[in-house]
Amino acid sequence: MSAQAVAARITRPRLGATFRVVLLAALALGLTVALLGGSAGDVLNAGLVAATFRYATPIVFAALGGILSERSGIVNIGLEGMMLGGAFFGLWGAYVTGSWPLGILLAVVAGGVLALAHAAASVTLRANQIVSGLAVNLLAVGLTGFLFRTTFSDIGAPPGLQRIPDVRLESLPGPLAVMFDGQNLLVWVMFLLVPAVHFLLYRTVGGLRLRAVGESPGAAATAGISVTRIRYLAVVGSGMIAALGGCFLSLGFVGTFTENMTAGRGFIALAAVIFGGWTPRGAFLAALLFGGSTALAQRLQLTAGISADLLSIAPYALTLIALVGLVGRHRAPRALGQPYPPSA
Amino acid sequence: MTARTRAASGWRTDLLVAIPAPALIVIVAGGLVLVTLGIAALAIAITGHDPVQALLGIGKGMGIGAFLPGVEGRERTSAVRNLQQVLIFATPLLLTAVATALPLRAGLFNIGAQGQYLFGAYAAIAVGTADLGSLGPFHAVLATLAACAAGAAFAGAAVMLRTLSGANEVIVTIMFNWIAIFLGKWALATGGPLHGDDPDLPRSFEVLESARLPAIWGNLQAVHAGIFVALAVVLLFGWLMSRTSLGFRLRAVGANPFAARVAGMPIRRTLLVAFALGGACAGLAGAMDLLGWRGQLTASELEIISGVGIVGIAVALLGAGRPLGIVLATLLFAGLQVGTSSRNIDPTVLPSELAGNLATMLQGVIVLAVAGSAFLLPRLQAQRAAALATREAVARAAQTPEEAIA
Repeated sequence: MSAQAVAARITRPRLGATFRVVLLAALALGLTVALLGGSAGDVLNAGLVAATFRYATPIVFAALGGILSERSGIVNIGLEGMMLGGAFFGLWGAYVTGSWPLGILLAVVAGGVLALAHAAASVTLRANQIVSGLAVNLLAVGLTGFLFRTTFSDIGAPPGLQRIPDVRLESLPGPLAVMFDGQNLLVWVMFLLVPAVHFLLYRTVGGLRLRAVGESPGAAATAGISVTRIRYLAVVGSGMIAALGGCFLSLGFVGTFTENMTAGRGFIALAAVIFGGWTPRGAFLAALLFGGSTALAQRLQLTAGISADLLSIAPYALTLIALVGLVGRHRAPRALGQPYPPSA
Repeated sequence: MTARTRAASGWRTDLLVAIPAPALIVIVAGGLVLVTLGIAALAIAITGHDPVQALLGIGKGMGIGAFLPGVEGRERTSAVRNLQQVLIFATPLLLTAVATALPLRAGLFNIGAQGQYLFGAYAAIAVGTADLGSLGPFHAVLATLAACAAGAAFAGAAVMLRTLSGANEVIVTIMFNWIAIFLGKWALATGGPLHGDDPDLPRSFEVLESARLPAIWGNLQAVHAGIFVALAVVLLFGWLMSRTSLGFRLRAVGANPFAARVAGMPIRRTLLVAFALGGACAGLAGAMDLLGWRGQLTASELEIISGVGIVGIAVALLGAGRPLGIVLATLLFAGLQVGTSSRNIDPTVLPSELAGNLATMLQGVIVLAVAGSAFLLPRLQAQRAAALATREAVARAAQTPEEAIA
């Protein structure tokens, strides 16, 4: 690859993800209309959009985290575990302190600590990044289950929990009110975080360094950038953002914690990162698509009477279709998965 | 003093040089065990239970007592039963570990042993509950082969997606796991193809007697012939990798796919074979569990029983993908799993729902520590060798020319 191409790659976000998301969304909607015929309007309405935002939010958070980590060159299979950590510690923190902001804070710290374990193993000890990420997932499943059983075994769902508040926007006109009124605060945080991560990556020195480290760590190091430091920051930051997604699930959406409640959303988020071409905007759209498929499946189950088990497959199947059929020619960060320095 | 001689001094280097090379391995391994036990003890202590008693309780639940002298009477009976449980659980675990280790040698991560195990289980149930006339023991063989084929097909489909489109195999196989779980729930629900005769329960028929594997040790929950099948597969895996041209091709593709392609090896076909063989092993694991032990599938337990596919990844990594390593790691993890199960652990020492999660957590810690030390150990060894060489050079330089000649 020429120096020019590398420069273009580092300085400019890509287009194309939008097109593919629209294409797949059209496919899903077309299928629904074909399935339901005249009653499709009962399912395809503003309420579906609102549900899409809710289901997409945890995936968007995790995907934004995944972008930070992967653009710095570290594969983060551990997103799932970091979300789970955020889900438990957010709920627990809010329960113990009686304050949801402290719950969110604890969730972010927990996600950061789990990510730190991943960073220590994969950056400093140069372990295989997939192995290290899987280990973090196992660790998180066991740890959160263990602590959940220890603290909440007798009460199930914690009583008197202060959940993250919903944002009331009743004055919005008609369908906009259905879409945006009563969405959780973290949904709005998610909406703001997408452009924020975009800005960080493409408009700040730190973002340029992060991408440079992910593309060519050797060159970045020659230019005086500490590859280790950037990668640690990126991975820990990625865990913190992913934890917000988990925290939304437990403390914002459901109001309780169940063992392994993330149910593969961290991996769907990784697929969203890839499908979205490693850009915040692309990943956001891809996550909306996956969230939308969950929302649609939920509604079809009620309207069309299709087996709930079969419809539960929809988001996973759509993730596969997206990965396989429409990945396009996006290239992963060049140094993704490679430890630095390359040999001991 | 040059940088090189400085590097060869200091207490850390003194210590490193003072330790003999083989002892270094033992110390790093011992350190891993201590770290793991330390974390376990800490976690138990936080919950207000006695760590020593709890860890001993887990050991007891593993059936270690069966090997100790002086354990008699009812104690012995229960220890033997616990040991039998470990072997029953080790059977599928050996196979799912191979299901991960084999494709890994060819350079691909198969995280899908969970789904492949389930597909094997579905096939085993479908064939094992069907009345196929007087097949005799061939009924079990047929059900087993069907399970292998189902697992291989499911894994093969996953890797085809990878080789044809470049989709990441880790994510593809994880999506396949969830799809396998929900397909199974649908198939076992009322009206589904695997549903039995109870209209209120999402449960299959029982496997027919002709398709059951023979019991070899114990009654009630006996160790079944599957353990021999599993051990044979592990040995076969070792032989395949080290003694056959297919094994060589797998290793070559895993070590350097570009070089392998230049050497004329068919990359895609090799990866397909690796995944299909791995999937067949995972499917076999499902068949052994169903035909030898469980006999019946229930929708609500699919996720739990197929967890053996996830633990298999940890076993393959801990066992470094080698047959002996896999056997030892399987015994450790099967022991952990069984020792912490509700049937085996004394709830006054540590409640089993805590202990089960503790086992998962420890698996994570072990894999993380092993993955990290895979780098640490060679580096320590290299540092030791470098320090020794430097000291020798310094000592030689310090000699007078006369001494050096003499």
